[in-house]
Order: sequence, then structure tokens, then C-alpha cells
Amino acid sequence: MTSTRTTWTRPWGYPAAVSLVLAGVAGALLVQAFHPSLRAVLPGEPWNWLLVGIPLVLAFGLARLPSTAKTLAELPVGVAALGALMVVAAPAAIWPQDARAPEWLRRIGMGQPFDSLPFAVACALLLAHLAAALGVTRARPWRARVAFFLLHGGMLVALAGALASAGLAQRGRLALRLRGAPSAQLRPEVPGGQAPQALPFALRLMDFEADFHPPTLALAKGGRMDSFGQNGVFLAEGATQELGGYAICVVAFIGRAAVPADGADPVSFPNQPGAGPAARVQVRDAQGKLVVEGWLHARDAWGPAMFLELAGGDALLMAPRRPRQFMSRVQVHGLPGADPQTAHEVRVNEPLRLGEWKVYQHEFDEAMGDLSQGVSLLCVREPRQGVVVAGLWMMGAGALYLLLARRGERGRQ
Amino acid sequence: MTWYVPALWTACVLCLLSAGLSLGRRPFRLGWVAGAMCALAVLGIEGGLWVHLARPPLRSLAETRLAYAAWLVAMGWVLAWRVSAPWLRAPMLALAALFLALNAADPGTLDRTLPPSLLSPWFVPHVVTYLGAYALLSLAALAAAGGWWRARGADAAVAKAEAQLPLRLAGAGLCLLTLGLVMGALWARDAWGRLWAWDPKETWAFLSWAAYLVVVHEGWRNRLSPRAVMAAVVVAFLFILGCWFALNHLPAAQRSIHTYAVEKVPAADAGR
Repeated sequence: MTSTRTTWTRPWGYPAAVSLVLAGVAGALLVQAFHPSLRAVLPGEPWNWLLVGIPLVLAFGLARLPSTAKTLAELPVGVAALGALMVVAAPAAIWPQDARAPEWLRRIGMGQPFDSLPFAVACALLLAHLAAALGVTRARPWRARVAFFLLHGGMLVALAGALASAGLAQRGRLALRLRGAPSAQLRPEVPGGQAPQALPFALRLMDFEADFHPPTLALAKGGRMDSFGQNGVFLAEGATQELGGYAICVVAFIGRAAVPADGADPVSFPNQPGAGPAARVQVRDAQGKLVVEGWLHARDAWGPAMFLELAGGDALLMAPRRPRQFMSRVQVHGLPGADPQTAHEVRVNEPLRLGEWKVYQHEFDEAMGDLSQGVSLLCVREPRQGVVVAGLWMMGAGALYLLLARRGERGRQ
Repeated sequence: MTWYVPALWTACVLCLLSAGLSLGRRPFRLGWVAGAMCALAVLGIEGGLWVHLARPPLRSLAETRLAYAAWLVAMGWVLAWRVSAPWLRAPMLALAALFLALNAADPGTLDRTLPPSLLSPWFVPHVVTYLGAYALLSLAALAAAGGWWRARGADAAVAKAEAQLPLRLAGAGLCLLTLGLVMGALWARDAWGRLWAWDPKETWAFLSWAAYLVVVHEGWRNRLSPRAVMAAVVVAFLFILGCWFALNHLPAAQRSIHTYAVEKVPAADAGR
């Protein structure tokens, strides 16, 4: 009969590792099922760091001792923890994580699996394994194990940073009117979400610019208006294009048009907010015979969609205008060191950094198009995000090293 | 753009020709000529499409299929140069031909527009790295399936040797997946203000990454039988297929900002 001591100190292998992880995650699932509204939320700084950091240091330090903690470093524990994370995350890969999630999932509190107790337990087990694995490995020459340290250390730093800074982020939308009063009032990022605090400064929208792609012609096949045919081309007066076996010629083009309610031809509507283009086209078949001639217009604030029906249920239409880029110019009021007269630009993919906050271009009034009178900015304060980013860079460097390292070195890894 | 579909069919035929001629113990020299012409054709199509669209052709599902085929053809040359697995060239080129044929049959929307969220220096490296990973991992799956078949009834040493190539390919693919994942997170931080949002596509990306982590670690650990490792490499590839294609048909796609299934409202696409 195996003594208790031998059981806890010998290499575990899969049966024991899976049992450990399964017991932890299944226990958490049971608690979650009995308390579906339970969310695994850490208390905030500085307690988050203690709650995440102390067990990590313990796992790291104890890993070299010939004791139970060493078993945490074994691969089966890591694989089992990763497997548990996959199982817990799987529902979110299949169903939406909101009210549209299946009833049975929501009943057991797994409608939003990433806030659930089982997910937190699986994350904690993976963290402990990573820390212990690094603790065991530190005895070996690090030069020979650069990729191991970068990849596993990066994962550890990113995961620990994400857990410890979870719940500290503040995110909210800021709606601004063009040349309206400065505002600091944030709204929830998603409808029904938690209302964030007000910004410690106020923003005033001074200007808005939207650059649109030229309008395109598209062929809807088989009556499916959401499935554009191939060869969407830009429209301009005199343009001729082959599309789906038809020769199409633009005989008239209005850059900004309105469509009268009586169904008459579109009329020019220069400088009118939200007015999009209209084009009159001739469609000829392969033999050059005129098939149809008429106006095309994408639905907007100044008129319905106008399209041309072709044979076989196909339709020729003008695709909705798409923005190429849009940009707000804002003044910052009440931020120490910031000149309130200076206008700062916020573009998509180019956030504006203001102290601890970052301001992202989010939405604009689409009905008004390039003459939108209002924008919605996303304001984010995510302290300690740099820790997670550092972990990600470590992982990237480790992956690159492993990919490019000479085969001999890779073999030693 | 009248040249596009005929060029795809031409590249597809060249791929099949090259694949057919690479079969056998001594690949016929004409196979290499056809392979070179195929590579030139695919690169020409990619370049021509880039010029025609005036943007990187990596936006739609059809465009990613084409880039994936280009990666497969490129990998064929790398394999021929670095790895002694000539038998892998034929199925790999056949796979590239399949994807070229899919694109020729359904070219999708060749739309010149690009949403503002894709105007990022991360766009091309992120997508290209991911497609490179997909190509490597599909090769790993092909090699694993072939190795699994050949290793049946063979002794342990032969089976172990068969498992080496799939494992090496899966390891390299996992490195590229990791790089793609990191680049995607850094891009998301610039675009949406968060590194990771558990969007359904991101969840699938995590699942596929984790699946390969498990497979590669277990393979390196050398405790499972070689045939089990090769079977695991094939199973892990199902997660890639889920991430790339199946997600578009799942209920979760309704709230994804990454899927190709639905035409998005432009501003929402830029901002969410």
C-alpha cells in the first residue's frame, strides 16, 4: 500500500493532475450553479496584487522543495489547467455571452463564463503551475532556456497582470456636440452597463472630419442584398465597368443628392448634411443591347435606396458609403498642464493620451455623414495595463526566438 | 477586373500539375517548373489584386483564402529546401489548388474600401502571421495524417520518426500563432482600448492556441505514443478550422466584430 507521503511527493502523471484540476473546477462550477449571479471579482488595489502575488511567490519558492508544491510544476497539471480553461471558455465560442445565451447556461451562471468562478479557479491553477514551473527551472542555466523563460515568464506576467488589474479599468462613452459645452460625463460603454465615474477633465468638440471612400457599384445576386457580387467599383461620371456579365456606364453623377418623396429623379443637394451620392447608369448585356437605365442611390437621411432589377433576381445597387477615416479635434479643459486652447486630434487607431486616460475615436452621427454634428468618444483608464503588455512582449520575443533559433539550441529547449 | 478569375484557374491548374508531377520517388523536373510557375502566378495574383484594390488584399474571407494558398505554395519551396519530406509537396499543392478553386468559384466581394479600424500598422503583419500559422498548421495536420497512416503496424522507432515532422511543423506554427496573438492584442489596444475582449473570434483563437500548446508540450514530453501525438495534431487543426470558418456559422458570430459573415455598419466597425 502506498504511503501518503509517497503519493504526495512522487511524480503525479495525468490521473492525479486531472483529478486535482477537475476537483477544483467542478467544485467552483457547483458553487456557481447554486449561486448563478456570483461573479468572480477581486476587491481592487492593493489587495488584488497581494491576492495574486503572494500565492505566486509561494509557488515559485516552494517549487524546488521536494514537497507537494513541486508537483504543481509538472506538465500534466499545466495541461489539465489549460484544458479546464478551454472547457470553461468553450460556451463563449459557440453562443453569445448575453441574454441570447442558452437558458441552461445562464441557469448555472455560465452565461458569461469569463466572470465565473470556474474560470477564476482554472486561471489560478494555471498561474500556480507557471510560477512553480519557472521556480523549478531557475536552477538550470538560463542561457540555454531563453525561450522557456520568455514564453512562460511572459504568460505568467500577462496573466497575473490581467488578473491583478481586473476590475480597476474604467471605460465609458463620452458624447460630444460640435462646439457644444465641454463635457466630462461618461455613459456606460454598453447599454445597461455599470455607469463609470466622470472624467477628471472635460472635453469640447471643436471640429469633426470624415473622409469617405468613393461610392461603389455592387451586384446583389439572387435577391440577397447583403451579399454583394464581385468587382465593386468606384463610381464617377463617365465611368464604364464590366460587372457580372453586364457593361455598366455612368451617364450622370451627383455628389450630394436628395431623392424626392414622389419618386422623381434625385436632385442635387450641395452641402446638405448627410446627403450621399446618386448615379444614373446604363446597363447593357454582352451583345451591347440596353437592358435597363436608371438611378442608383444608397439609403440615407435624404432618400431611400434606389436600385435596378436585372434578370434572374439580380439587382444593381449602390453600396452604402463607408468611411475611410474619421477624426475629431477636441480641446481639453481642467487637466493640469494642458492648454485649453490647443485642439488635439483623435483618430481611429490613434488614441489621445491624457494623463492616465486614453481617448478613442468611437462613433459619429452616421445619418449626417461627413457633416456629423456629434461624436461618441471612448474614454479608458486602465492602470497597470503596462504589466500585461510587458508580458505580451516577452511572449512575442520568446516565440520569435524559438522560431528563429538554430536547431541545436531549439533541441536543448 | 476580367483577369482575376482566369488567373485563379490558371494558378489552380499549375498547382495541380505541380502536385501530380511531384508524386513518385523521383519528382519529375517538369514538376519543379510547374511549381515555380504556380508560385509566380499566385504571387502575381496577390500583387495584382493589391494594386487593383489599392489596399492589402487581406480583408475578406476570399482574400484570406487566397493569401493562405499563397502561403501554402511558398511553404512548398521551404519544405523542398529545408525538410526532407518530398511526399508532402503533392497534398500541400493540392490543398492550395483547392483554395484557389474555391476563390475562382466564389471570388467574393472585391471591394476597394477598407474600414478605418483596419488602417493600422498591425493589420498586415497580424493577418499575414496568422495565415502563415494556418498554412504551417495545416501542413502539420497533413503530415500527421500521412504519418499516422504509415506508422500503423510499424515498430516504435519508425513511428517516432514519422511524428517528428508534424511536431516540428506544429511547433513552428504555434510560434507564429503566438506572434499573431500578441500582435492582435497590441492592435486591439490601439483600436478599442483593450488588449483582449473575449470576442468569439478571440475565444476561438485562444482555444486553438491552447490546443496546440497542449499538443506540442505533450509531443516534446515524449510520453504519448507517436501515433497518439499525430492524431492530436490532426484534432488540434479542427480548432483552426473552427476559428477560421465554423465560427461564421455559429450563434456567437452575431456579436463578433471579427467575422466575415455579416456586412458591418462602418462606424460601428471602426469603434467597437
